[in-house]
Amino acid sequence: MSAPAIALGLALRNIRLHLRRSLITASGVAAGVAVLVFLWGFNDGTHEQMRRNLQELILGSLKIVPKGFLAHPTLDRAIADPAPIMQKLHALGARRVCARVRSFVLAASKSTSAGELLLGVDPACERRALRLASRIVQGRWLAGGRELVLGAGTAHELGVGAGDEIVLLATDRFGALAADRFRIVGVLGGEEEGVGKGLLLAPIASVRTLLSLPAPRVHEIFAVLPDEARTHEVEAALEKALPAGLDVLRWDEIAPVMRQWIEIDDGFMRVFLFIVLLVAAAGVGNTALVSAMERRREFALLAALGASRMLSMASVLAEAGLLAGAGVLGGAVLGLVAVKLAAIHGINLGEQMTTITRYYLDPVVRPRLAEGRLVETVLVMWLAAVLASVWAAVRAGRVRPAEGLRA
Amino acid sequence: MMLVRLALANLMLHPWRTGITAVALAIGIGALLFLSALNAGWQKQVQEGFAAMRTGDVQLRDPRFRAAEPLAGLIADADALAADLRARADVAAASPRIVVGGLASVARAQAAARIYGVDPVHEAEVTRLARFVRAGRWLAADDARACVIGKRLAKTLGVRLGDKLVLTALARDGELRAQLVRVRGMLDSGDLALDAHGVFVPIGFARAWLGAQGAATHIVVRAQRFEEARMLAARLGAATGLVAKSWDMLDPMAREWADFAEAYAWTMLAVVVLLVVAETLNTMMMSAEERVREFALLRALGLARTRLFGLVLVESVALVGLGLVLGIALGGVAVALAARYGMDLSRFAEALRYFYLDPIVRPVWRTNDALRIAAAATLGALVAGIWPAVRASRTRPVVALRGLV
Repeated sequence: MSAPAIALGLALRNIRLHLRRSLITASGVAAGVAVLVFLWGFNDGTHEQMRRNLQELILGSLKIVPKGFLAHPTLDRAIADPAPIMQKLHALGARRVCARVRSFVLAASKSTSAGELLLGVDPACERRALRLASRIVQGRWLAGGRELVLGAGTAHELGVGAGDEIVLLATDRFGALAADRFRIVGVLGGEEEGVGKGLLLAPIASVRTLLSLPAPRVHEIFAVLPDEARTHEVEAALEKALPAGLDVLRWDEIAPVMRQWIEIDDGFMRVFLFIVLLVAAAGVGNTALVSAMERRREFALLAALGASRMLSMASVLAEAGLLAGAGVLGGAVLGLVAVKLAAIHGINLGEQMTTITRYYLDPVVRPRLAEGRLVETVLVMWLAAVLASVWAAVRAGRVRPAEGLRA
Repeated sequence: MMLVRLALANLMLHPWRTGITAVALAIGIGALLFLSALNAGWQKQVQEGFAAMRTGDVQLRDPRFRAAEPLAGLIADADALAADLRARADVAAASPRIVVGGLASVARAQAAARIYGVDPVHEAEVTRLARFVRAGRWLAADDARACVIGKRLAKTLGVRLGDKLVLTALARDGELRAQLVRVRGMLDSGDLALDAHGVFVPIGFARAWLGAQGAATHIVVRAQRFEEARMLAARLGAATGLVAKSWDMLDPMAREWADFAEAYAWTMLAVVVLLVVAETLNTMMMSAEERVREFALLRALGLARTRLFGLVLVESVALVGLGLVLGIALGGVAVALAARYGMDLSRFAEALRYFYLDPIVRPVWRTNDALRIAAAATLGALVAGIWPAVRASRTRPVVALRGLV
């Protein structure tokens, strides 16, 4: 029988001999891992929702704009010919690609005025690419002509609804004041920042007319990528392929607040992981220490029979590894079941948090673990528990044969 | 007292086991305390920052006011009313405002604007806006065609201090009217809406421009005690006949997020208590198993079952108590150090400032949190101690003879 097999056999025998203690130790680890897996699932699920909703509702995964346009948008800075860029995006695997023109305008109803961002869009393309069209709660999506769709918050502030007309006032490309009357055909539901309030959507041709912007000029091209993980790769390929004078911006560069908030949230979870890790690992370390103390005569006998110190140490570590292994596996299964159940039934935060959708969160959160999260949590917890047992193993290795004669 | 001495003696007999358990508990409790203090600091900042930046503690509006018709439901003689409010003992400051939506434009650029006509002196007492002017200066009492604009808005328009811009909005008579103003200051508040669209002009100028002499769309009030904003709103509403709303009634966002953070903190506390129970149960079970003969001997010497039960329970509480004392000391030192020197999270400045948080984070010690954690840990210790205590109390005196005969 090989030394590792003997060490494993001794560890298993000791676990059997102290079954209750072993079960309590493993249960402590399991409880910690289960809670961590669930909380990670909750965290990752909310982050996934925020990222996906932001990209699929309004922003896209990537945006191509004239250099510096987003910080300082002037009408004369435009992409003169969007077609080759859109073709390139298609070639890189993006299937949902649309072009827009944009300008701030003054929207005036009968009783008040408000500054708004006006997006000139291709109604059919946007319907395919984003989920905006499905958010209409009053009226319909854009078809063509001088039609307008706006958020419910904007409609409330202007005191208008589907069927009403408002005047849009802007400075056109030549610096002259331009105004046009638009009919509201649809109102979008939801409170998302930048969509619920402050946004108007109109067919691209009518906005070009208002701003004296000749076709095919556009101000931005966006793409929604089927696989978010490819965003950096597509961005790099575009930067190489596109002519100078254009910015390729990822969603998280356009909305750094969301990226940073996700990082802070993850940071907090890691601190919490550390706390749980420590307490659970101490449990295993403690058990290993007591076990090593109890088995001094056994280790002394092994030493007297010529076994190496490594065998005693390996036996203690194997016991800790097995206990922690059982704990993390049990905890992982429990945590996964909890994540799965919560994902199926959803956690309704919308009832308590009426403003939750402002941050692109759905009212019902569905936990979901990010790739690699489970493996990372399980491995870190197991490793910490085994490391916590090293001192116990060292003490077992130091037992001298003479100690076997005591008592 | 004898039970306590015996319990402590037993804990001292196994310094490694006691030490490992107590240190693990201490670090867990200390870290939890630190997170709670961080959370407390943030909650305070989010709520107060939101009110101080966006809404004020309380806002008063005319009952006829509608967002879609802001200049139709004005508070007449607003300056006199604001002065009356300032004279109240429960009001720290009050200032009238006229707020309308409009367009800000320069030669080659334009941007959506939220135009705030404010009393330069009293606005600075009610909100923190004046403190966030990072370039140039806040409005002065004798300013006429001056404005302070958000930093992002300045970038969008490409304007600098001293430049002119045109503001256009619908006036009270239903006509679109434009005015030329000069940029005197730039605001960098962290609030995306204010920084991207905020334009602050003197209220006298706004009144003349929009045809609202002496009036205001609302009066913003700062309470003597922020925590009493709701009660103050009720009192002011009754006293003035106007519609009075506190900051969280105007927009529940900040309170909802604070409540969510609180609920999350409770969840974390529950998890740590669960682990404390498991850890203590483990240690106490091992201790009880080792000491069967000692318990039997104590029983043989006449110690009652209830006393033996109490002995193990006291030992369990003493073990957690040791961890608790160390943990509170550890957490307290960490909170004190972080509060003194601040934790620099500037890397996340945009996200933090978006929620009205200072990028230099300073945790706030709350004795209530420490008591809550202490109570939860003690409860955990008692729960964890029950089983081993029951087992110990059931030990029969005859067991003491094992190995001797």
